[in-house]
Amino acid sequence: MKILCPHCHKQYIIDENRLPADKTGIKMPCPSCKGLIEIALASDKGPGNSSDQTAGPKAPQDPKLKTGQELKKRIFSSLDDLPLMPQVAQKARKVVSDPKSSFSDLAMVIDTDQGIVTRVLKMANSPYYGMSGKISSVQHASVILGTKTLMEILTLACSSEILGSTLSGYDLDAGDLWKHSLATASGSQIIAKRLKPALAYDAFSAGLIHDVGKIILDPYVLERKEAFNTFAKDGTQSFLEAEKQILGFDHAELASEVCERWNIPSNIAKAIKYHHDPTLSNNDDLSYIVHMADAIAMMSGIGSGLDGMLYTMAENAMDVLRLNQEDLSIIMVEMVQYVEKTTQGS
Amino acid sequence: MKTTAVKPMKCEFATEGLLWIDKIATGVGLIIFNSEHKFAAGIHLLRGKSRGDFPENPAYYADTAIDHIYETFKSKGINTNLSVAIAGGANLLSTEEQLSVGQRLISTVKALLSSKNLTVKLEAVGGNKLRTMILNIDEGKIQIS
Repeated sequence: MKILCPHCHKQYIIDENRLPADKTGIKMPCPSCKGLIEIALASDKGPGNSSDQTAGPKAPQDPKLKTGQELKKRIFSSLDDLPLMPQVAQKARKVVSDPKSSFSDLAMVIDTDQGIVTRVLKMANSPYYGMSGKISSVQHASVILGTKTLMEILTLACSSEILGSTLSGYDLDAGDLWKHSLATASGSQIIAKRLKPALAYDAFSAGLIHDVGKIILDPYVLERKEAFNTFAKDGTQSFLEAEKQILGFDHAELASEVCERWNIPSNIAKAIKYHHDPTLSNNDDLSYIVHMADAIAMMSGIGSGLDGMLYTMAENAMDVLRLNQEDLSIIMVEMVQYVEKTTQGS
Repeated sequence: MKTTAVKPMKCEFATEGLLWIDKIATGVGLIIFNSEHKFAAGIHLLRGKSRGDFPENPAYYADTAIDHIYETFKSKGINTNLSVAIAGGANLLSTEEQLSVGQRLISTVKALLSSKNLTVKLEAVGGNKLRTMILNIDEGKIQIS
């Protein structure tokens, strides 16, 4: 039996013969994150009657009956299982938006979460920021790197745990979604700097969490893996279409719910919602930027999974963003270098 | 078995075990191998011609990368019987051919190989598939999936 931890998304195989035959369910701590995994046991379990099961967000057993609105309702009711974006991220945003705030104010907010401090220092000392081993405190980082860069690093530090999980449904190993997200974040920032520099920071944040809907959908994709594999093998329709046909909705649609839960600013939530079809966004620049960066990240192959290149690029995206073929190649290379440098040693 | 993984824009040389290039999408994976000397090179290219730039990392551009590999083989006295395989150049769905970054990169790589009299013996290019190339140096077999 396959068990998926709802907290860290690690997958485990359990010998069914070792499970109690007289119980309808058991609870166990996840060996990795120590979160509680609840396993429902079928009453007619017997030898040879093996099954895959997703614990946590309770995925339906009969896909014919549980799709569309009914499945969506169940998924939304299980959103409580989704890890929260650390509060320090929201507090830091408030500090940065206050014109009276100083470097020290931002550092003081970050210093309240020691787990995040460790990750911020690790990233600030990564080769990408050119400060390897030189930054010893958040206060120090705020002075040397500046508020904008420190906020960028904080966003990375707050998202790394959530986006670093294994997504077995999408065939993404631990770190794959994280790398793809990093690539999209850096690509979004590069495009924004060329088009509308004022959008650069929001573009980075939106690019980083654009695929958060996949984290929620993964257990349900895993349960219907055969249908998704068949769809992917056929390779003639987009993976978004597969999600819509098999589940009744797609990961971009679900992501906007998560953004609300995480108190993500509405412009970023909008870009995430429309990142696969920015033509529906009422000409929203940020939606086009994240869409294009996501497409280029897929073209690079970084952190790609089952859905690979099974997406389309909006026909007008290149014109809206004033990009040509050569630009795509250049941005792709910059993305790869960014991911390489920020993940070095991790 | 020793496995040498090739990252994007990195050139690796290997003399035993497996040479492995995975997650090849729009970029082009290139393997050049001499079975007699059991010497192989692998690269995952993302950009075409350098237009006169000489980057610190020769794997940055297709022309500087292929020159670097060719010269390395030559410096080891290996000029002939080179097996060449390429994979990649994939597109997102519904991408028109003239707009395809991958298609252009494939054409550039083939032209560069041809200029060195290197003939591609195995290729899997285009479409919308992510690909993996594995060379088993000990057995002399290249697999593209």
